[in-house]
Amino acid sequence: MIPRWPTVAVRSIAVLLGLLPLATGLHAQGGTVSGRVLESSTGRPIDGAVVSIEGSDIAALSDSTGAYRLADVPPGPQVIHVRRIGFADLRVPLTFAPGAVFFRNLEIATRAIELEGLSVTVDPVSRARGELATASVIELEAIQNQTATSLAGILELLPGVPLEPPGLGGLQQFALRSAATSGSGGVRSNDLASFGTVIILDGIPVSNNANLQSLGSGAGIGFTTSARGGVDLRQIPANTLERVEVIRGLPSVRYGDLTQGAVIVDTRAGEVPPEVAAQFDAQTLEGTFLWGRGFGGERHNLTLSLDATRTRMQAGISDDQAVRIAGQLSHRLGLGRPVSENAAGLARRKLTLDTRLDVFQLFEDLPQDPNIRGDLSSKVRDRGIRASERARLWLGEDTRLSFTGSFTLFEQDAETSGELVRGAMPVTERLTEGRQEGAFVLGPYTADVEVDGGPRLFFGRLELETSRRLLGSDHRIRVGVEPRREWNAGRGRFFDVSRPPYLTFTGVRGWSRPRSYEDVGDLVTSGWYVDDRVTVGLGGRSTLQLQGGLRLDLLHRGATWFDGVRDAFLQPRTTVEVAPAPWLRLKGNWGRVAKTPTLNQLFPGPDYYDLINVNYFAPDPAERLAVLTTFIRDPTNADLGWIRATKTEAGFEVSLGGAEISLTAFRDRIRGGVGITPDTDILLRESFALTDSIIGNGIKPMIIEPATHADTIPILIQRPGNIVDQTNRGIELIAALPELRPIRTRALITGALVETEQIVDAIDFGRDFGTFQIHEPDERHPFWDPVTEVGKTAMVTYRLIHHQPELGLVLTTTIQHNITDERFDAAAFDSLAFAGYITREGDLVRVPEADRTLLAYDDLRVPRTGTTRTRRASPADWMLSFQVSKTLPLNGQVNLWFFNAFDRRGVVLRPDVLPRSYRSVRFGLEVLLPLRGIFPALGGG
Amino acid sequence: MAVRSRAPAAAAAGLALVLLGGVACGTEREVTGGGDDGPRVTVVTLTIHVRLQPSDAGLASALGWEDGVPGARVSVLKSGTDEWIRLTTDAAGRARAVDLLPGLYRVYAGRFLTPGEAAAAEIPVRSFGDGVTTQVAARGEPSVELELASDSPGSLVISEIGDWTPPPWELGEGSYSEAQYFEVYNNSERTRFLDGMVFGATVRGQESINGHCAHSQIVRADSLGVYAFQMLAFPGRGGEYSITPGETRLVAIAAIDHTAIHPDLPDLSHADFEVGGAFSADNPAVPNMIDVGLEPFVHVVGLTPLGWWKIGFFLARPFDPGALPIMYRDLGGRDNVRVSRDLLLDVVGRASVNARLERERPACVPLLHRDFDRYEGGFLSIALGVETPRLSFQRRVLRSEGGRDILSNSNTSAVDFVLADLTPGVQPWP
Repeated sequence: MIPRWPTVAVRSIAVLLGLLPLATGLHAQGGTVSGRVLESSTGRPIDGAVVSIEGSDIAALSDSTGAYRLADVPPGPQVIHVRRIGFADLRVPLTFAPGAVFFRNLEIATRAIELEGLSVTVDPVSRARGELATASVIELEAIQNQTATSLAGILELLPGVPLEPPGLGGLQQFALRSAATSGSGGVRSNDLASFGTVIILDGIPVSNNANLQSLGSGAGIGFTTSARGGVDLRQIPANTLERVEVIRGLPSVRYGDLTQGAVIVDTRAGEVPPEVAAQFDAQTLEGTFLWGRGFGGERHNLTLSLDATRTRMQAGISDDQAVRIAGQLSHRLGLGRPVSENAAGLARRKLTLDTRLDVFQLFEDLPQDPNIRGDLSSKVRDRGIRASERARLWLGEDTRLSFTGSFTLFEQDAETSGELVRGAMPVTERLTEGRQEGAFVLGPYTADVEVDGGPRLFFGRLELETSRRLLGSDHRIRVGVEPRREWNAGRGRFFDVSRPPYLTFTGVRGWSRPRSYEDVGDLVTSGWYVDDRVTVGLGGRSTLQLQGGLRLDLLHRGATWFDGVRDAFLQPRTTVEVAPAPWLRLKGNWGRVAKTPTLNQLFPGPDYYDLINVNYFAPDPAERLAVLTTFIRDPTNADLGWIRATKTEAGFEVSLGGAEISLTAFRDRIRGGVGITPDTDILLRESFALTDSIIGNGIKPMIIEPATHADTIPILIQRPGNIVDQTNRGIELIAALPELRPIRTRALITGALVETEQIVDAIDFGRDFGTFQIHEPDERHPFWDPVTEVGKTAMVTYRLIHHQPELGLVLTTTIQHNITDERFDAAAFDSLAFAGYITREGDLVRVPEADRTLLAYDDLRVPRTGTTRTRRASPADWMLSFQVSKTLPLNGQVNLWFFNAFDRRGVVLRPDVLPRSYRSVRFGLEVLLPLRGIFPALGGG
Repeated sequence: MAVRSRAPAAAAAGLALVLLGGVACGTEREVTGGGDDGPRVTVVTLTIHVRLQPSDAGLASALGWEDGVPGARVSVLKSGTDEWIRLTTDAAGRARAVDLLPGLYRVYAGRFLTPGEAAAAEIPVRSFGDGVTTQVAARGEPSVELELASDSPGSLVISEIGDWTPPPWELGEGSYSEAQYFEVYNNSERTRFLDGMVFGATVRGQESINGHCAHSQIVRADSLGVYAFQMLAFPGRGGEYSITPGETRLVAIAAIDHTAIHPDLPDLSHADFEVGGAFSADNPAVPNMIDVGLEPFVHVVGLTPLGWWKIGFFLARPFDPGALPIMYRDLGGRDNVRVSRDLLLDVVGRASVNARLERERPACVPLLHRDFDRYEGGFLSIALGVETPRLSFQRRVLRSEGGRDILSNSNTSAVDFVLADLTPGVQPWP
């Protein structure tokens, strides 16, 4: 029995919500912090540093003596952020009680590792900007300390994420809070989870919804594609990132198209000293350049980043490689008179325009091995341009109107080729229904496929945000609308039908023909939301924060937002945080979220069935005859709608004696995930007598009408449906322990226990259905009700960080302990487990449970096939990686890293044991070098 | 590896015995892996005594083998490994396998008369075979007795099973089983008719997720018949498809020239019969076998039982499997009928040994009852790797009589069969 402890979370939230009316009458008195900004090595005061409360508009500039002052800081945990060109950003966490007054000197340095209190991991208590839900925030210094090639490497800092070496080898898709299951129902749990974690890059969603780069099932050749899962994170370089916020809990209503959490990514922009970074290891070579500077009287700001990376997947063995080139140009323009909205007098323009242009290309080549005949080869070319404009117009002291508009254009070209083998088998190239003479394919043959896709995304958002005092409480209200349209402008999927890329193109199982994407429709949605965040005092030193909102997502029918609504889903979301004391915070949330089906699920291509009427393969090719009847079935499901999920979470955060601990229990319940519903149908197969069927007469025979025999072939149409129910529940722990001063070392422990239950609510016809289809004597075939797939993982990662700021030295040791990884199918497998049977006429007949022992059903009493009966679990295992980071002359920094230093790899070949295989030992070097140190003339960015 | 006896005296005595060429008793020793402090294991010597079965006492007398069979080839294999020990019996019919770890061992012996031996005894050239699976204990004096059965030609026999395919890197992705075939040979002295005769595959003897050895034990060890669900019947209604003494009939999955697919694949366009299938080409020049099994002989994805190892094959007189009661349902849900022993003309067992596969999916013992294969399943002393040589499973030629070959039929598949170059449609490998 699986415990239902997450219901506790729901009750906790209800209790917390019940406290709100009691609290609304109290106003939370703001705190104050002041002090001086100093250079850490010399104690010199630093002027012009921007000191702010992260996630708020509270900011100040340090004066010529380095002095600053921040007032009206809301109670609760806050982060003081110090920014100054030429220095590393500094973040100082501080918990404010109502009316608290702090004095803090803030020491900054050119390199983050020269600062006391350096954080190279996630912060247990931080929040995403404007969000109250549980989040992990990864700051620049942690990003720079993490040896990552792409965003996926940065996300390894989250609890429960397995470690990988840097590089571009293989897809990098991210799934929050889910464990892999057996996939018996045809849907891997990661399919849903990774689709459901939204990635927001500089305010613009990065979508994979319109990716059609797939050959479908049964293909004997293929290429690397992310079409089935989430965004391939290889397209986002790590070295150009400023900050990553991972909302593991319930994102506010501002975020849609998700079933799990959200990853909010900001790239580096603004004034950035020119810097180059290079990374080398045996497989990967990466170079990055960054530079940003202001001009035009500080009205303009231009930032440029470039990244070029190459990974040789099997260096020294083959020429397989992936190459990425990415660049970004961002421009900020401030217009209108400066607006002062806080006592510090920090300037802010009436209108700010942020313009960004991102380009990237990711090439992956798997060339043919000349030593292997007909070896599989593939070439993948993904290119993209993303142009966006974000405008913020202040309508008053406390009201802001924001507009975001973006257009993303992808060009995806993939080619693959390989040698397949088939016996002499009849095939037809027919593209319409009907009977015709076919040909014989006689393997081996070379199958070539080209897939030319062109995903497009238009995204817009109009949002009004205002701060108001209502009913005695401070409110921050956001109202917005989010139109979105996705389509694919690619040419389609092409191959020679007489040399298909499929191994299982038997006539009784539908398979794909070449397809033009012109018949693929558009995915048009709109989201409407209103959100309020309120902070109130509960009396004494207690505070309560509440963020609640309502979002309406509409899935539209046609190509525009005016073509009617196909499906609608209303999503209330509430997050609450109570701080009974400054050192303790209780938190909880409950809400609904929704994700659209993908373009491929909304517009699946037709399936072709080619039944063989005549199979006459005479020794003389001139006498051979193949006749086939083609049937076409459209698996489109007009009722396909939103994938819906309910997210619930409860937890607490403790800050005591320099230690910070966050423990969160969660339960995400996804309903209506997209899986395949096997709809039954029948096809009529006719057999014919032949004329001139004398061997050796040199004459091709002809069929004699009418058919001499006809029988029905039951088939299963693979129709997408909202049939997947998935429940993810678990516990996440992040504990940052205080530094042990004598050894200058601190520890961070992250861990996650996750359990996933998944039911694909479709009839299971078992593995032997194909045999039933072709074996005419079988009058019926059993079917079973769906199984419950279960996956469990438990993983703890220990990081020991030894830091000597005066030496600019950081040693990071990471030990990852995989405690368990288990998956099994929960169902009855015995001979009485069948639920009914399908006849040769395609009829489904259910058999009552009480009747299943009757003699009449003896032929149905067989064990079910195609499921994972054996409980498979991996043995507990661990690995160790470490890294040395040191400052270099000219303000540079070097990172020397060793991944899986003890080359720990577990491979066990047993049916009940899952193989666990860490990648083998790898080591490399990363160098960060500010160019200003070398070329002072480059100035301050 | 250091060898350390329990006592110096015992070691000296043991060494003396070994040097004298015999170990009659006290055969266990302790072996350490790292000097005196290393782990200790006990190794033993297994004595194998090979003689003719009691019913062949007259033959033994004629050959002077009353005490045992000299010169018999003995193969010893520890279960779960692929390391064979090959021995030859001494004049008393004994062989000794030394330094064995305790455990389960497969032992079989075979003997072919030389023409000279046959002439001296005034008998035709004969073959003999027997095998057993035995538990070798760590204590005592482990020994095993093998009683070789002499061959009898029988009537129709399965003479070759071919399932070779080139490795994927030469052929392309996907399974290609259409070049598989089997042959039936008339080993008797009179013409027979194949019409209605049934060829089939027996219950597989392999541990797997969906099939446990214990579940099928009772049917594999049944002396009343063999159990099957995949069967093919020869076409004809009684007098259409004759096979004269010494003739072979080739049955192909697809009767086409497979060299067009790979030059090393056989040309089966001249096959006598064709299995066909739902999707493979049908050569109208070749009569089709009739699928009479409870499940298709060729699976929907092209697999056939001819490609399986750790399985038995049989040839039986005409019968209708559909009229037989279901006697066994395997863990995969497949119903089997029992083909009774009085219908069976020939049964062969085919199993290979691959250490890794043995550990993952051990072979079931016995694969067939001893009445159908004296070596409980015909384990061949080979280890199949990824890249298998171009070989097929072929019955040995024993002698020639009146211009036709007589094939070995000692009822011990491991002795009667050998792996040799593909010879579809021609006389078996000599």
